[in-house]
Amino acid sequence: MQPTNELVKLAKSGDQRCIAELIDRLEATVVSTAWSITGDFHLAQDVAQESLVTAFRNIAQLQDDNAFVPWLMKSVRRHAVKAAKRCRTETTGLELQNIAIKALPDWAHGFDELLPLLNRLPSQQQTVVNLRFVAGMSTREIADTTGRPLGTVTKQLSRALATLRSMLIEIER
Amino acid sequence: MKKPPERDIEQVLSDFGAQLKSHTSLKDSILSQLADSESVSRSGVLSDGIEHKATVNSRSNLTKPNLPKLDPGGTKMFKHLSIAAAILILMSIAGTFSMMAPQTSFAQVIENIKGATSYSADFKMAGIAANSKTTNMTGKIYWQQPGAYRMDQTVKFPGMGKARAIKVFSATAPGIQVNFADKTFTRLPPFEGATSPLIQFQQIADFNPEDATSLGKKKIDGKNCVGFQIAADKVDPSTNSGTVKLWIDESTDLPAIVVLTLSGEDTTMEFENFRWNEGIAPELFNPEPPKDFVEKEDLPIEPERAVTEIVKALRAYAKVTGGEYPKVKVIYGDVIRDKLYEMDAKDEYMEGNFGWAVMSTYMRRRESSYHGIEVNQSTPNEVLFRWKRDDGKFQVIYGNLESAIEQ
Repeated sequence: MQPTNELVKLAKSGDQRCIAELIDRLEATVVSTAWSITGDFHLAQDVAQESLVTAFRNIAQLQDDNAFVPWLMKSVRRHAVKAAKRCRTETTGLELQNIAIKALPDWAHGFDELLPLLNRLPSQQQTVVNLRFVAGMSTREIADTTGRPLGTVTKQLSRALATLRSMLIEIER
Repeated sequence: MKKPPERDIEQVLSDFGAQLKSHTSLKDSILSQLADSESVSRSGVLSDGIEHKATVNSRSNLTKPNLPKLDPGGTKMFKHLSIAAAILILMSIAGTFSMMAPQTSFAQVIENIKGATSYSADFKMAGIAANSKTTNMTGKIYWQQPGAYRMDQTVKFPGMGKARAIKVFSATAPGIQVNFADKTFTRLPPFEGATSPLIQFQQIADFNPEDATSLGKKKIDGKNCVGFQIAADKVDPSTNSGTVKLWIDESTDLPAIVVLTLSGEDTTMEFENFRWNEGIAPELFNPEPPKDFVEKEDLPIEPERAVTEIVKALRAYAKVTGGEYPKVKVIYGDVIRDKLYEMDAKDEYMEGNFGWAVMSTYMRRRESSYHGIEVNQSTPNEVLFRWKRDDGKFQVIYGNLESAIEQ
């Protein structure tokens, strides 16, 4: 797999193949992140699309090729929070932590408890989990993609899984 | 979802990822939109297409969540500096930078803080107390939505040993203060006069964000952080001269370190090791005393004595300022002390010391209001301070320092 930062470097010069490859690689991760915040799959897709379009329109200004994914994920969260707020009257940021899953697609039944739990993870851990299990990256690839040390990624993934595991067990009690 | 056996979470996530990937196909639409786009910016700072504007309203509703507790029984050292004031500044300052530094995405900092469910942080403070002795305070703060607080504090006085205390309080339930020095505890009423400072973000006053300066970037515990500095009184005019340094973890857009320096008192407070949204063990907010600790009840203050003490304090202040009262929104001990010390009026502060403490206590009540910015001795009939008494009646003090009970 071509390293993400190399794709970013070429995408900055307008290489459509690399842009397409980056979208392929990251779109599900972006949707997952937005979904965990909005609780609405269709709204999450809108947010993902908006975020990715915005990101690629501005990618030429990105100074650090390794910063693309963290930058993109911040933008996604921003867009998702705003979108969620638009859809909820008098909502607050705190309430966004307790999302209500709605309009769950048929294929997603069985994961309805997972999304709110993902949203409760610290943003870095959530990104690592999504890159690992949604984008299917190895921890080495995640480290290269996010510009973080491999050990940090491994620890974050381990902590995230432990947290998710304990939260799931708590739910079942 | 069925209860997962050990390690099964990874299978659940893998299944979820595979399903999501197979049901997500945005590429064609995005490429189409990009092809139609003519606006590919090629210069300037990183733009994320987000409005970097904070919602800045009146600061009239700002409250100090940790006003010094009136405590004649011996824990006055904890009144020395309001930790919550610093926390408030920390929260407020994020709003400042959201207006002036688009590349730092402070709008996201605000969203993240507003969306936080919990945080904890270590703090340490070095300063000079009213008795001119150097103090060192260390401890830990905890916050959990919707508004439960805990502060663990240890104060070290030169030649006097250490004093440790724990305070647990919330807006909706009784709290407790535990003093380890004398093995006592005091029940605290619900902290009705304050809401979560996270929510108060939208009530930040307007001020000039150009006063902020960049501190550049540095790595803190392996995290890339970006730093800023601003004069403390630009964030909260109630605070006296000083600076706030704020280091934001770029990967989370949340504060990693905050350093507050009140130069007038050579006091510094540093908050570090922030842990955001990781949850706080519920037992930390349990308002029950340790075994064998003895309850120490606050001495009740007679309403008439309270009025007398408050008037005495306000009169002493007006004597120094030529008829003005503290021009702040909220009375709390540190602010008044610092202002009077700056005016070389230590004696006047000491004269009204008890009255300021009483005012601080009353300001914690929901119905209290103070109007020192607008009211002075030249507006004798305007309400200067209003609070709800223990008997449920409302007491007022006017600009001429006369008092009355509202009917």
